Amino acid sequence: MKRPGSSWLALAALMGALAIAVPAPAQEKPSSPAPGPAPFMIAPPSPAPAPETPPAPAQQAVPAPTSPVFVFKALLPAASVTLEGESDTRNWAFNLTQDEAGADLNLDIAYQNALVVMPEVSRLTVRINGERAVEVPVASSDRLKRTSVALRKGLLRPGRNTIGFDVVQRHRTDCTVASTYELWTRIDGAGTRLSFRNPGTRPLKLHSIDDLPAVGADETGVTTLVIVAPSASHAVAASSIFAVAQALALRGRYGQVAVQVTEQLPDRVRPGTLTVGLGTREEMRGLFGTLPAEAGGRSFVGFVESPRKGADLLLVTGESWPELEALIGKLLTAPVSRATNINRKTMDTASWHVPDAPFIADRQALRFSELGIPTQESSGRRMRVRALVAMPGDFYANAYGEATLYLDGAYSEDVLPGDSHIEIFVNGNVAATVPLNTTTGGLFRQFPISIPLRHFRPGVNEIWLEAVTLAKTDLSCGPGATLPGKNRFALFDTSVLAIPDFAKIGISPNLAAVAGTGFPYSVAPHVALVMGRQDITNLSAAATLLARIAQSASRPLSVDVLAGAAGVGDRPALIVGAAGQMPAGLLPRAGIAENVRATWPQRGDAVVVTPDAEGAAVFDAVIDRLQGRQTTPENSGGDAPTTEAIRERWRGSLGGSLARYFIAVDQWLQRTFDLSFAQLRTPSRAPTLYEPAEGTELIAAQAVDPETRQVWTAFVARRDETLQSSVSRIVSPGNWAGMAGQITAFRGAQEAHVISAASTSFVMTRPFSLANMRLVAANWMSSNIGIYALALLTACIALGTGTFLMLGRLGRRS
Amino acid sequence: MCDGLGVTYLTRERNISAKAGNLNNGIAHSDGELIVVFDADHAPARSFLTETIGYFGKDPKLFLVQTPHFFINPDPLERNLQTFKTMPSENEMFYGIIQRGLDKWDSSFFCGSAAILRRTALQTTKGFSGRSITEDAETAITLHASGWHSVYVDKPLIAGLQPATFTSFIGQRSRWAQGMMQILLYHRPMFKRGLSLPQRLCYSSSALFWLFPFARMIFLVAPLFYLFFGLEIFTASGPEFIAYVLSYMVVNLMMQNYLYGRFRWPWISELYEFIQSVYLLPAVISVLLNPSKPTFKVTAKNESLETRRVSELGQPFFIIFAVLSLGVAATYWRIITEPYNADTTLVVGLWNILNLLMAGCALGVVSERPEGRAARRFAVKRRGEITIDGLRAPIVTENVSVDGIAIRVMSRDFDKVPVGSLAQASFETTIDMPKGTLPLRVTRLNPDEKGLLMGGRYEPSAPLHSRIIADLAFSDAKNWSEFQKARRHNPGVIYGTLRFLRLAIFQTSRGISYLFGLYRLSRPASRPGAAE
Repeated sequence: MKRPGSSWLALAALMGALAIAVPAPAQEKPSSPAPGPAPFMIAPPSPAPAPETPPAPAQQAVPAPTSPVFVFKALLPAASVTLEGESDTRNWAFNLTQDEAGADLNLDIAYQNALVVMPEVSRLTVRINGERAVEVPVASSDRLKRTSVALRKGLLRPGRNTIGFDVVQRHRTDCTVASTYELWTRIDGAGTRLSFRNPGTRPLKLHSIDDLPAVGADETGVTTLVIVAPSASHAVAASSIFAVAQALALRGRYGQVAVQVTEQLPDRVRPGTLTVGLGTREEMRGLFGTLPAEAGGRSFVGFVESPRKGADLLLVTGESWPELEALIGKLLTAPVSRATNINRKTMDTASWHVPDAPFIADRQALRFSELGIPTQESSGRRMRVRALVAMPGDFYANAYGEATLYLDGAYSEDVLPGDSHIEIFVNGNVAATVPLNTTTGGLFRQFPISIPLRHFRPGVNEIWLEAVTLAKTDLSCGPGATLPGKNRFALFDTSVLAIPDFAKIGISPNLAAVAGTGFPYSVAPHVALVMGRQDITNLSAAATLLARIAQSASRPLSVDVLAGAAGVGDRPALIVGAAGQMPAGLLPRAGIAENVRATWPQRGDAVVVTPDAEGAAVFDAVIDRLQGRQTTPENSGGDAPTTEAIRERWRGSLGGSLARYFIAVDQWLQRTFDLSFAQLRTPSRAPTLYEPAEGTELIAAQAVDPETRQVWTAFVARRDETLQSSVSRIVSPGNWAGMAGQITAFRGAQEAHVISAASTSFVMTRPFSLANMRLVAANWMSSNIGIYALALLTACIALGTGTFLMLGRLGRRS
Repeated sequence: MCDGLGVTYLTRERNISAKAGNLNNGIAHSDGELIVVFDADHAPARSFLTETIGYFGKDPKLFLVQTPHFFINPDPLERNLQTFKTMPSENEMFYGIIQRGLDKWDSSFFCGSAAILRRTALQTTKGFSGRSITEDAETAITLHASGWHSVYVDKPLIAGLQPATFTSFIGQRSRWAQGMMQILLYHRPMFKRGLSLPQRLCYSSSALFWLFPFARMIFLVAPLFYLFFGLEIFTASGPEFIAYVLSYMVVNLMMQNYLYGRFRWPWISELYEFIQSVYLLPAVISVLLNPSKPTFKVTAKNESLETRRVSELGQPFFIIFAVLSLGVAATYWRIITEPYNADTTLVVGLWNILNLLMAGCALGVVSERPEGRAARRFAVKRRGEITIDGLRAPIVTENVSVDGIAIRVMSRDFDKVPVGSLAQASFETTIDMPKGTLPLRVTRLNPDEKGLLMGGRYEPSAPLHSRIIADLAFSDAKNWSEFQKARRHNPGVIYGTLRFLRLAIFQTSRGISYLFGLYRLSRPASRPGAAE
């Protein structure tokens, strides 16, 4: 069975819009500006101006985006978006204010592509609100190609708009399936944006709270909330800061939020930044000198003109802090609150993928049309379509349960049997393979494909359907063989993904649930928060994390800020801070060794991959992971990702012939049925406290309080200075989705190391039902096969004895 | 002869309601409280009544005491595969396991013969039921439903003949299958009022068993669809097959072997079902379509087999075998041309080969061997005296059958007696009965170190002769039990499977050689002395 990646691949997969997991052995690193000195130079066609581009006057303004603030609006959800393979599509949403939509706008596109992409037949199409705005050949392998078109007036609407990037790429020379992984086009975040043709306009005029989504993001996809609270260092302000941060993140539906808490107004405001003034009227007056007229004399939440040049400022002010808190609760938090017993229908992914991922709380059948996959035909070797589905935080069906894909599709008789197949990936892991082995082509009519729920997890899951179709012409690969020819595969949007009823019970510790849906904080009436110290750094970090969790949970958390662990009581707790600042005794309660407080900050800076300022590092890390480094959760620390693989190799080559035979059988079982003799071992119960490995910058750790059965989650940075930056890094979509298990240690920019929980406990999340309990038991048995085997044996013996006894008593004696 | 034995022989002008009608006619012309039913080819042992009749005294609501049918000749499968002496008979599964099990739930049913019924019970149903062609089971279900009980005595107390040729064997089984289907349709045992839940289950199980041809035929045909047409009936890879199907088969074989390994050896059930399915499937379908159509046909059991030949019903098996062989060829072709499908093809191909082995065995079954001795002989030690041409000598019987006897003559003078001469023999008897001599035709003479072993064939002419034969052959039912016991051993799954494999290969070649008339060449292989 092919299994190109393991759970780590899954992390990469969710990055969705940010980068693409590419499970092929050979590939280039697209982040390098030029693809290196090639042995021979295939002359890249000179960057001819796009034929559609009208001779717009704004063309000149394009390369000078820096000086005036707000002459452009970034569009990408990340520093770059990479489209890969022979055809790829990305769609997401962005928001505009009334004024922006009415302005004269240019669409600027900047992209670069792989050297091997054949420009003559490769095209990049950009659609805005479904209408084709730009279509250019993919012909810029040596440098970033910029192009700009004026957008038709009326194409953009106030509020939500969608943008889609479609690419069709063909290899210059190669016809293999592997070569399709070498095809990529990277859309650059800094150069892809809406720019205003009239520099005089002051576009970001925010009128009401409903305009919040229009704040958008910067060129790396990050929305920065600058909360200016003069009394931030006082305990009284903390809960208001957290409430504001969460409410704004939720109402703005931003993709990635970084919260900065300051006491002073920032000097310069960049695009994608929202400044919030938070404090009593007195404090605000101190900040601004005079308050705007509308805010004078009463509690106020609304946009006012900033005293500095730039965008409007959200002012939240009242007479006193209690009054402010009530005001925030009423005007900001309440509209985005949701009762804990109400399931959402979708999970918001609009900032990087439309349509939103449907939230599956129960048995559900989803047509591909609902998942955003249209009917399509492919003439290429590899066609991949993506869909997102979201699972609840108490999803517990990794070991038991199968979704079924009812495929409607067809393949032509050109498709060579043997090497052609359909593969379903879940979060980057192969979940099902269907060979296309008929020589005469075939038609699938609601053809069922079983997809084990094994690689699903709480929160957003990405499912790929990949059709690998080789033809005879690919084997000879004559001149022009890579050009689009006859269609090989068709996929119909009537295909249905049917998710069965699955087991729902909370398990803790499980960081993946926190990351996915904020569980269990999402369902707790109150959350206790303990910070290392009450200062701006800690507040910023905590607010960033809370905003992120609130977005996952799709509801604001009610946070009680505590000074220490003593008052936590019967609430789930969040701990944020630097290791050295942590009160004594706090870390062990989250599963981290106490001495970490002293030893960890003392360690020298290890060789750490510094985060790429341009954000391309996200992509690099994905590529690195996919280049065959197969990592599995293990306890030895973050520096030996291939330990398991090496151990397996040694294990397989040692021992006598009998032992080797035994090992071979075990490995075959592992490959084929995902069973192993190691699974027969009962998990050890001895708790061990974690000590971070070399180079670890931040640890997310979770444990269950033995008394209250509540979950404690700690986000601990190595040093005070790096707390804020580390936290903003882990809330980036790729890293955030990588959180799992009991402990996740983040090392460098993207590397995360997961330690799975040795023992977990269950948390009832729904009213008791026998059907659910059966599923829970089945899943538990499936993941503890040793116990299952014993139970089966016992049941057989009991059945035998029972039958024997029953027959002895019933009927006639013979 | 009937007068001589004090027996009334009844016959009817028209055969209305077949056997049930005959039995009802017999009831009408008799007045005993209990009615014993024997088939014409079944002979009871002396102890038959003493072993059975007591149960009627114990339970006034008892309507039936059934005893097993013990056959002294092999069925066609046993004869043609030469397993009669060594392997438990097919019906031992029924009488040794199933009837005993049914009896536990008070639902052992009437099997048409070797049973005693209570007249008062039969009167409530106006005699034997004649609606279905298996009147026996139908009568039993009716009486069970009205609160009567039955008892099964697991001792062979009668000896009988079973169908000797494959054709008559199939005829008999078709009747059973159709009759049980009729009961299923007319009586709906699962929902029949008056039956207890276990009885409902028991009768349903007995009737539904006869639907096996459907499953068998699907099992036979399904792999061919893939091998010839590429149609995937179910999709499974090689490892999946190993994990799910093979483990099931192994567990199944082990369970079967554990539960009734002594009575039924591995794969033999499959073989019996396979050979019947080909003909029973149309029979069952026809009865399902038209339940009232089938009529009772008497099973011929006394046909003699003089020559080697292929049964007239053998043709389909040769066709099946040929098609399955083509399937093997298709497997090979598929593996060569579609290597990417090799593991599926291999799985299906192996399945097909299993069918082929079964079909090969069936070829052996339909290739009829000539019958050696007509009836089974049992060791009986009895003193007596023989007279040939005035020469007298004391004798001891060695073994006895219903038509012949072997005796040891305690005299040197008999060496010169010619084969074919008529002898008069008298024996000591086990009961008080008129003395007399039994005419014997000498068939062989084997002098050995202990004396002379003489074989003879009875030549009965008077009723008394028949009584003497009966006293010799049927006085001791223990003989039969011991014969059965000797065959009842459990070979185990592995040995049983290997044995079946050997059998399959040998019988395949025998069947094919019969088809081409090559049996003369195969004579050395078929060990002439081993024919029963």
